[in-house]
Amino acid sequence: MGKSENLLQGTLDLLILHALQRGAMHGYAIAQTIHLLSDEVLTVEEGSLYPALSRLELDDCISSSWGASENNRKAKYYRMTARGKKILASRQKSWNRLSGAVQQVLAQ
Amino acid sequence: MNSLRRTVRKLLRRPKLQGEMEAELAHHRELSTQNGNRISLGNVTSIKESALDPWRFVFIENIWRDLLFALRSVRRNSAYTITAAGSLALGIGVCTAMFTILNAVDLRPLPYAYPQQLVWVTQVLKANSTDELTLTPDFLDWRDGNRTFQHLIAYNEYTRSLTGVAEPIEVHSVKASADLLPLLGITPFLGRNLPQTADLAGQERVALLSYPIWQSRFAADTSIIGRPIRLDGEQYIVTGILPQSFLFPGAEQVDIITGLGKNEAGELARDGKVFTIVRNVIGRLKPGVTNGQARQDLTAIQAHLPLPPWRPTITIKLLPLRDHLFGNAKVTGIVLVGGSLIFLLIASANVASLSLVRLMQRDRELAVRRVLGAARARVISQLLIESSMLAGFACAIGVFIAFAIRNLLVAFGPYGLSIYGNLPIDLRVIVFASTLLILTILIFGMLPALRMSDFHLGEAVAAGQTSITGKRHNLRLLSIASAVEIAIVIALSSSAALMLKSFWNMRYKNLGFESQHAIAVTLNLGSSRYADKNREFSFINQLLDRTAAIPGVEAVAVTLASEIPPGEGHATNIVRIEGRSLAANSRQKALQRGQEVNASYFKVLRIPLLEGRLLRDSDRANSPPVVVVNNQFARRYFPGESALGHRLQTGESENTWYTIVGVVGDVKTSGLAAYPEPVVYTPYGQSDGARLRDLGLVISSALPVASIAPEFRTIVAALDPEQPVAAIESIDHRLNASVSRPRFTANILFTFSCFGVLLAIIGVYGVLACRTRVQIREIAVRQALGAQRTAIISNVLADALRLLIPGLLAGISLALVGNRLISSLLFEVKPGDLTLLATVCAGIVVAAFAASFLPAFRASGLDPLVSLRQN
Repeated sequence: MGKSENLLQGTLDLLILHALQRGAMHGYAIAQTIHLLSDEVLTVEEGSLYPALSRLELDDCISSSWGASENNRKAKYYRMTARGKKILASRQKSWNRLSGAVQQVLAQ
Repeated sequence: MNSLRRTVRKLLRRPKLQGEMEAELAHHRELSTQNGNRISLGNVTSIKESALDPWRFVFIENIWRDLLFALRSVRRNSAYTITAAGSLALGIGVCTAMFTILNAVDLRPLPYAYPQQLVWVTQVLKANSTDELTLTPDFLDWRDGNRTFQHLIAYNEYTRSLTGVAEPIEVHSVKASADLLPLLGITPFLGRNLPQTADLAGQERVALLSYPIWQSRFAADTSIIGRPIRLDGEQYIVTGILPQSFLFPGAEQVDIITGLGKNEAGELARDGKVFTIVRNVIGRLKPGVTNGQARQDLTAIQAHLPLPPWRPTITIKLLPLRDHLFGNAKVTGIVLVGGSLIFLLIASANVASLSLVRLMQRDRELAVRRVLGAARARVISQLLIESSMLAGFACAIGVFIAFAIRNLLVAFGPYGLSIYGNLPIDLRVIVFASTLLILTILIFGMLPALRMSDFHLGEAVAAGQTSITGKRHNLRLLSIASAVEIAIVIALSSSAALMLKSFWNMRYKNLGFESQHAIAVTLNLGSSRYADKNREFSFINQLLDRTAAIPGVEAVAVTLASEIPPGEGHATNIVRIEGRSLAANSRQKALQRGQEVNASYFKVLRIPLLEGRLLRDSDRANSPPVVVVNNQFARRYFPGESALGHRLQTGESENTWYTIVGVVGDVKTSGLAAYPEPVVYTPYGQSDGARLRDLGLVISSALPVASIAPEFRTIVAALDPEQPVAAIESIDHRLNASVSRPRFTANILFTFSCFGVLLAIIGVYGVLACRTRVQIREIAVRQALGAQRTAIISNVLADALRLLIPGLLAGISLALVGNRLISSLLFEVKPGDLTLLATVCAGIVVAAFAASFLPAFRASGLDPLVSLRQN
């Protein structure tokens, strides 16, 4: 995510939660998902990803457990919790409102 | 609720997360490389740290880490730690101990109800002399006529013999008005207060027992109430027991209180048939009455009262009770606390300069921390934690020191502190100690920490500057502080040296006798049984014979209790010398101390015979009357001739002429601080026995008092079961006790000055260490240009001289002025004793030079290449 990370605080949390809607994933998969979904515009560095995951877990938005990965290696999988879903919904709503407003301003 | 859940989650989950994070990151990297992404450059440890940060209790953990680090650095620098913590601990300890005195005497309320209403009253009678006492009839008129007091009571103190118990003892007792307890707001622990009628003569035979005496002499027997006890052979009925916590409002604690017993009608008649005095009057003011109003009230009553026959002028003195009890102690307490606070301040300043020196040695470490991104606040907090730890440690030791020495202060302290038993350590003392702690942390922790973080250390390292002490004026401030310390220390040490020398002179010089192996015993034969001279002498003679037979006793001698060294008071007995007219002016009357002794007295105390012969056991009532005089007497009244053969008459026996048969050496019997006075020794066999009722024995024995005392008491009990032994103690003990006050002052001053010398040394060391550190480049360049080691050392020592000389000069002038203040306390020492002053100065100069050698050697031992490269 590079420099834009600081611009809108909390965006990364939103993106991670959104990615996890697709089901349980390990950290790398989350980063890749965001990368791909953004048409390779956004790159999530591990230096931002893991602190964010750790924070979300502490806030009880996601939970983690160890499982086997696609290449049969042990990996830590994150999945959304009920609280995470609620938070995602409310964050998405406010994001939509915010970005709509910004769009509207820029369009005039 | 939420935060609690988070805390629990943190505590439970975190240890596991810490282990997992590494594997997770490794997995991430592996996948990343496999998929051909570029390898991210992040530092694994740093990512781990920041990922785990939310799970941490950051604030507490940082403090904890700093504490651990501080502990490690404290252990590494044990010399620094011990010096710094030690001097702070002493400072805080001494301050706190002094404060407990001030607290007890000035701040803590007296242990009575509404203590601010309590006042002490006395008449001041001025005629030929000035006396502070109150005439009983006037007291009675005050008591009955005043409008400003709730209660007004009087009491007198007496030493009486308590008999009828297992072993007769002397007790400290008072005869007091029955209103004493209601006035103080005290109710007896058991039984009742004295009845009001006990104020009247004939009905005063009632007693209140103190809790300790009830415990120790009456086995805490509750049935004692209503039963009689014997005081000086008379029966008193016990009405009550005083509470355990009761403190008598006087200088000494009281064992027994009995009725005042005044013939009130007779006193008020003022016809001279009955006329007594009371020594202590205490009053409780009515609420809202001021001391001034009370004094006016009493003065108005006094104005209408007739004067006693000798027509003195009578004024009334009225003081708050606290001031009467502790007046001197309060001033002394304030002075001592003030003095010790200055010491603490100097100690803190010293420790601050020491910690600056240490910081300079660590500037690289701190700079590296800052460069690596430690926030300024973190560096400050780390330094503060280090100094707080040190100060906390010092404070703990300091309070312990205070706790230990406060009891010594009570034991040796000359003030009326015994009323409190132990000086209480209460909330006020603890608050005081904590304030000191915070103060010291602020002074010696905050200043260096702030200064330290103020500089851009990264730049400092790059530029090779020792930035911390870069500003010269800071060094100058330290130098001035150090010179002032030296001055104070010289003044203080010279006073201490004077006091020590004076104490030594007093206690050990020119005693005139040998105090080793001598035991003094005093008995008060005041009871009516010994009014008969024959009974008295038979008792004394039997006592002498049996005591001499105790195994281990070499000799026993009889004398007057008041004349056993160190003795007290001044000679007041008139002596008439044959062939000389008695001058009318009393100043020129020949005076002497009369002493009635037996032959072995001189042997027991090893008093040398100078001329003639000693007294003999054969000098009896029926043999020619003889006396022995001391050297002082012979020199004063027979200058230029021999005293032998002259005859004299003493005040006691005006009809007998005594022949002087011998002259002996002078003995200090007017107190150790006074010169020997003329003494006339009369054979006790030729005395009328009246003065011998204050009987004194001196026993010569190699055995300690503890093994003689029980034997002696058994003998007295066998001769007369009703007769108590007033005291039995070694003469050395008596001598030591008599100089407890100068000893206390000397000890305090000596301790302070030792502490001061230590501080001055630390101060000199700190300043010079700072200075050499600042000059390190200069020194290195000089070394590189060929300067010798000795040149570098002498350079640093010259710096030391620059501190010392102004300090010395100021100190000597301060000492010459200051020592005059204590001149009244000195014995056989002049305040301007230059040898002593020179010794003290020399000692301090040597100590200061020793302190400056360390930094000098360190500077000279540096490798110039290394120091140039480093800086």
